[in-house]
Amino acid sequence: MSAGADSIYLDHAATAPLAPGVADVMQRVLVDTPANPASAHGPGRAAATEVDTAAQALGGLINAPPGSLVWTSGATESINLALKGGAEFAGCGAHIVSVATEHRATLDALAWLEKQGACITRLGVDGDGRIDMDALSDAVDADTTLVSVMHVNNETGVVQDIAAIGALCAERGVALHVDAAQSLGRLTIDVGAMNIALLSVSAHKIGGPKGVGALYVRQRPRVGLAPGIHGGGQQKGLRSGTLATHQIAGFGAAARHVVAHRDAEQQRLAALRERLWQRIGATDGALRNGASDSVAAPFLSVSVSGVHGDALLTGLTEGEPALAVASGAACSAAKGQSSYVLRAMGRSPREAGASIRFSLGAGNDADDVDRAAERFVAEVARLRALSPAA
Amino acid sequence: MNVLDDGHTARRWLPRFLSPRHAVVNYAIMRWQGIGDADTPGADAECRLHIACDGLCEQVPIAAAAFAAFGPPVVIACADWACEWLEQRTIGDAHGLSVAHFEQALALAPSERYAALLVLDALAGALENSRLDQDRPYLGS
Repeated sequence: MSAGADSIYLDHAATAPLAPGVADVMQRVLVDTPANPASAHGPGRAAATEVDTAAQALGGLINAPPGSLVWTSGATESINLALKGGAEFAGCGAHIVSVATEHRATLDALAWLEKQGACITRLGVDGDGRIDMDALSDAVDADTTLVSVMHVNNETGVVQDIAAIGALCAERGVALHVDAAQSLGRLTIDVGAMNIALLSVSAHKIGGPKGVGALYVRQRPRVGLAPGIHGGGQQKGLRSGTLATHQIAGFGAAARHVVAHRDAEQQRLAALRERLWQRIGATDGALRNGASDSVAAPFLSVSVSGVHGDALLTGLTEGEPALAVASGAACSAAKGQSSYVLRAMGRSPREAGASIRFSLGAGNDADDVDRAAERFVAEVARLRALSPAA
Repeated sequence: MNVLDDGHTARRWLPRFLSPRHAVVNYAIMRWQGIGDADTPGADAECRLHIACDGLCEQVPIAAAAFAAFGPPVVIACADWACEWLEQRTIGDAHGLSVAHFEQALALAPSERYAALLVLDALAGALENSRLDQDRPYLGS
């Protein structure tokens, strides 16, 4: 998608534009189905039907029964409910195993739980961003109450082997929570076959609206969760509050769109991603983060030497054409505030600081990719020419 | 200020970062009388300032000033602004350049003051260097 005459949108991992038809569905539900879906009367039942339809669509995308979904405000809330709700249900003996490269929603929730007395084990990753299954096996012990792993990393696109992790967790009798914010709609997810007990997703990553997400909660064997929000007892008491019917309907419409287009679209994006890397990979000092065969199709994370990360990101996002891209962190590398994900993969602080994430999506084509590559190469050259090291 | 921002300013200096006019790479001058370096490891930034002038006394005008810099965009912008300010001013004026001048011209946020200090450190080095090197004229276009 070109976000404007002089802008190219390459930040679909942050938010994808609305998928075709989603806005129409939301408008229709907002106007024509105004009642509270928890109400027992006819208009209320009509609103509840819209919620059920969305649940069937989303459930179909992850092979989950509709009654197993808890609607939330997004993946961050879902993750908080899964981790904090699970730990509270487990009591004072909670032990959670997770990974150092998780999203901040997970890391910060775990840090909070640690202060409350939970025991947290954080696994490292290898140079390609993958966790070591032997290390995971060693970390899971008889006291472990939950394993929490993200399916696709939000900075690098690195894919963890959730099927293998799920099998290990099932064998050891431990519940698995998966942060699927970046994998929903991009990879196949089957909560049953993958032995996933809890799964967090967001609508706006797949072309749905912002402000709505879901937490899949396995029913059999049942996963214990304490409520995240108390109130009217909606959603089996786990997350009280009136459901945002039009938001949920929009999520469902986006899920239906994904089901119809995912496989062909991900192949197309993978080809575009390789085209982009072919054009910028020849830049002296450019490094690709994550092996191409273990990175989700839309993602390309590149570190480059000899330029300052903040300068590179600003130059790309504010120059012409402007590239809507992201960095692991725009902070000073020397302050140790560069991407913790890339540093965990072995990049130096300065390399991790000068890193750009391209995430492609439905509106991008070869012309976008070629222009973006040309801009990237030119900006790196410009900044290097300004440097005292030139 | 945008409600989603945490101290992000208007970045009045942004055009200077995007299109600096005083990068040393763009100057054909073969011999600079004063070159000063400074760095700020905490911000992962470096600045090199070049000045060309004929003579040493306080009234001598600076014929040309240029920079090379590595660091956050505000560092490049401050270096570029300083060079523009210095050209055609005197050595005496240059000694009077302060952080306040940068703040006023570029609307620096408090968290960006370090960039002005970095450039001033580099300028001090360049002025000292030119004092030691003042007997050699510059060759410029």
